[in-house]
Amino acid sequence: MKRGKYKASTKPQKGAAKNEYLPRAVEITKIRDLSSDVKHYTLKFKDGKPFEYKPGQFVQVSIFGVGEAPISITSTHERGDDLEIAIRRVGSLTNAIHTLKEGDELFIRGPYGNSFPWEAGKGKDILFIAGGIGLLPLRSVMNAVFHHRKDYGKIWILYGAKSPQECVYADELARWGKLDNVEVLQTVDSPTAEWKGGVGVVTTLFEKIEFDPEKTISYLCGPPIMIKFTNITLEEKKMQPDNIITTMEMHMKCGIGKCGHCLVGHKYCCTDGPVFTFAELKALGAEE
Amino acid sequence: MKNLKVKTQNLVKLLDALKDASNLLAPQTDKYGDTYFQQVVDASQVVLKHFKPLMPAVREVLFGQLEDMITFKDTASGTKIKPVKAAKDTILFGLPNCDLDGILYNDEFFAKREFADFYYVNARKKLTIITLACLTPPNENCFCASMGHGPFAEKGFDLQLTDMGDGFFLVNIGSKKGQKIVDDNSSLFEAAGEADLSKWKELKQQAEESTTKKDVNKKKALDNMGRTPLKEQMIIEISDRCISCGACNYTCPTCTCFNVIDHKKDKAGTRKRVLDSCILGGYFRMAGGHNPKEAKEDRTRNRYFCKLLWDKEKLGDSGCVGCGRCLDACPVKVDIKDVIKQLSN
Repeated sequence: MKRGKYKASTKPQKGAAKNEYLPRAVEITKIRDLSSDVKHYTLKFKDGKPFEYKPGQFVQVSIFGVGEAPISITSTHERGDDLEIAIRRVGSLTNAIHTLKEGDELFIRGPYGNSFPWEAGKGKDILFIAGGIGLLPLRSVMNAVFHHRKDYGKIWILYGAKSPQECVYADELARWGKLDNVEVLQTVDSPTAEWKGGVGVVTTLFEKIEFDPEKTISYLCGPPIMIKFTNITLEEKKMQPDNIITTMEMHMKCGIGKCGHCLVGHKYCCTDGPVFTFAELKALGAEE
Repeated sequence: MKNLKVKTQNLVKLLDALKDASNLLAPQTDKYGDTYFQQVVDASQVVLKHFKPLMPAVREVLFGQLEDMITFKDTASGTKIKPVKAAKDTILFGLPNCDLDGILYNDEFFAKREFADFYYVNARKKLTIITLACLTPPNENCFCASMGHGPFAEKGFDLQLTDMGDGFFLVNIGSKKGQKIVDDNSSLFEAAGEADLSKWKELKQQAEESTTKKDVNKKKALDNMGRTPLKEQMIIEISDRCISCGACNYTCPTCTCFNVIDHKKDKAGTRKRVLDSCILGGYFRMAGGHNPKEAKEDRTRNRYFCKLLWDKEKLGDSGCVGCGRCLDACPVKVDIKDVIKQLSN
């Protein structure tokens, strides 16, 4: 019998291992409400040291004694933004974070994960499609693209939410909509009397736009059911799975490819993702 | 490999010396008749017969069931945090080769990939490994030789001992750490002759034959795992029987998944990691309730693909070392050996 041998795919690291589990303290400098259950936080590192990140990366956010969870970065380092995250109240940690006030403390480690390949889309048209709080992680790449506006062609933003009250970043969507060659289309499931956008699921907005699948890159984020139907529509419109880019949400405990909770097929969402093309997800058998 | 031998009574003397210099963990039998790794106080109580502990040896010091990571304390100027210090120098004595190879797997997984694990790396540096070769299978579920992981060790140990049955143990030196133990206690050892060595080779061959299952073909099975549709039917059958207790994961020497929890009392506490199991229903569930692998079948697929397919792609070899512990522990007798056997055709 041939002897079994374990061989890691990457070279052993030299020197002492850094303690990646040890987070840094941040101060919450600003809080604003994005919807009834989503708050936006601006953060400042207490140690004053720099924190560099790319659009699409995430951080592990914790309150000691409550727990830790992965949260998307919604700001754009490229523009010199302060670190910003947006958090929906959904579990014990996020509920605890929602009780914090400006000046309070959080702990952050990261940034982790790959990033949106936003520079590869230069010269192309960009189609952003977001459902609900799927707009939060996409905001980082949107701002990167708008920061380099002249490098891109036409930009569409299709945004669907349950109701007008659930729409996040309404002010920014309105501002982006006024830019040249940018079209922002919104839809909700349950409209109010004042609602001016569409009614129905986000795929209904495809009837209102025309794009060239050959020269368009699509960024997509939202709940699983929305991702599924949007992908079907994009494929019907002859968009190549390589050009449909999404970011996944999974349960994560470590963020560094160790704890095993975020496996998507054999890939770790935390280190191999969270950004995947639809072609990659298909190969992993995880396109839904 | 340089070879020596040591008399049984001198081995006890060696353990007695080692226990004073370091934290020595070795198999001992408690008053209920259970044998497992315990700290050595009296070297004469150490069991000098090869054994397969219920929990794999990697859980003893490197990647425990429950491990402290960070301590924290609320103060007027915010929460103060401190990483938990690495364990002290430890010698693990008497582990079988399946456990050694389990540790070598964990080395690759935790220490040699991107983002080396601080706690694992520090504990590993302070660990000395003395294995005891299995002359016969500790129980009927052992099939390490079929998986290329034993029953004798070839690398990765500091010292390997083999009970020669004549009042002597043959000693293989596998590292500088092992050499140092021998040098520091040289009066206890004597040179092994040609006759000893040929007897040792004979014992090794017998042991290999006794833990080889003729109907298991590892290479074929792993290749088939990647392509045969048979595996889907097997996954469904296993998941039909599985009761999602997680025992297979907890007892597996190459299961590495963990959860992180905070324990806090009043104003202070500890962030800990605790072994987790991908077979448990809530393993993949996110805050808010969405569970991408809600079906037991999906989690069963995750476990078997991870062990028999993805590990090979990621770390160069299957995660199954053939120790048979998952079958030892399984209440409904799901048999990974049988899975590999079916895939061997």
